[in-house]
Amino acid sequence: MTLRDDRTELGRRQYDVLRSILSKSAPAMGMQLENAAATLAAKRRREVGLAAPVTAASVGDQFSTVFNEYASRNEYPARGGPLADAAGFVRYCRQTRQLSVMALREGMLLEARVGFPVRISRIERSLVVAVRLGRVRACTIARW
Amino acid sequence: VKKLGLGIGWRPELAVMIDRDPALTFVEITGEHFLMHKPPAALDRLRDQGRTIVPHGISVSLGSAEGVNLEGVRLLDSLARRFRSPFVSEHLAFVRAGDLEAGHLLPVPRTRAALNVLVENIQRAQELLSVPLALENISALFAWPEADFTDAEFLSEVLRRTGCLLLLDTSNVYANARNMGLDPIDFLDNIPLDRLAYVHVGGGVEVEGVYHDTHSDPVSEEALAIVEALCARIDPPGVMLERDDHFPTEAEMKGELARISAAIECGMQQRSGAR
Repeated sequence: MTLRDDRTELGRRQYDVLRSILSKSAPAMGMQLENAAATLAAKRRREVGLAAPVTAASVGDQFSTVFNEYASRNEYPARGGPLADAAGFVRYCRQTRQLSVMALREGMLLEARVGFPVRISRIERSLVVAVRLGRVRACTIARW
Repeated sequence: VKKLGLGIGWRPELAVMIDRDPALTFVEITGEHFLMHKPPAALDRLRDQGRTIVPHGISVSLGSAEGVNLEGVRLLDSLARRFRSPFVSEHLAFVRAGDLEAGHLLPVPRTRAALNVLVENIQRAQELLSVPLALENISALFAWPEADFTDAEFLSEVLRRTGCLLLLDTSNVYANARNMGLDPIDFLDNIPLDRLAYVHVGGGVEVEGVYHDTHSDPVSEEALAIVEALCARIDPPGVMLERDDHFPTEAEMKGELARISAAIECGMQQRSGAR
């Protein structure tokens, strides 16, 4: 086998295993992947809870349930790690439920941290801007 | 290998404690934390005080079949240049496959084919690095069905073929002993400890029969026993505590560091007694 063949074969096996872990589908090659699946899911949920604590508190007792819904529809982001995942979670929550003003601001701060560094959004009767310039800050620029 | 002494993983929550404790002679920074932000002035201050800063990666994915994350390698190198680091470190693992991201470190099969791919990936990373690379053993959440090598043989072969240094995570050794039946002493006796750059010690917890290397719980006595066993064999250039979450009080953190120092001392006494 050439190195290229080695890569192809390894890539196929790694993809099968990771897909099994993430989707909790039938274990690849008869492997025991339940622990890995449970660990990765719990870790992802915990890291988002830490990265978006205000949103997690706003969702309250439903956090695990809502997060699992989100995770089943959204794969772990290729860039940005837990912060990008948390930003995605806040976006998901915005679409599906009422979030507190502070949770919405938290979502803006996360978006500015992992994506375009300036975010402007209407939150209730305010216009809020979040800016990443060294640190990330959000402030209200207009009220009505 | 540069003598590092006693260290800790740098986190903003620990910055003040690190700043005022000169006994912490080195810190490890996670490269990915500085993808979007410049490193804080506190780290420049530590460097200017003569403390060593080691950039550590978590997403380069040295074991991925599709190759390494070159952006991650360049990030580590830029941090190493900024902080005049003696080396950088990454895990012997894969974190992505195709379009799937694990968000976690996963083990590479212990096969000849995987070894060949891993070695070529590491060599590609080394080409982009201006400092040596240290490879860390991970805690495995599953075992691949067939293997041409034991864990120790695989790690040794990767180090031999790439010339990399070793970052030994004693807590991962303990986790693999608990979860995968690895013999930790046999592992220590069959890896090239002369390649050792530094050592990780972190806390963990058992959940439903599986031990998790959380870095947010106290270091177990069993993990410290592995530190002691290691120090009975070799004087490690550096040993550091990993604490990423659920930060206790400064006194408790210092207590954890003191437990690590005591384990090092105990192991060193065994070594000098054996001479």
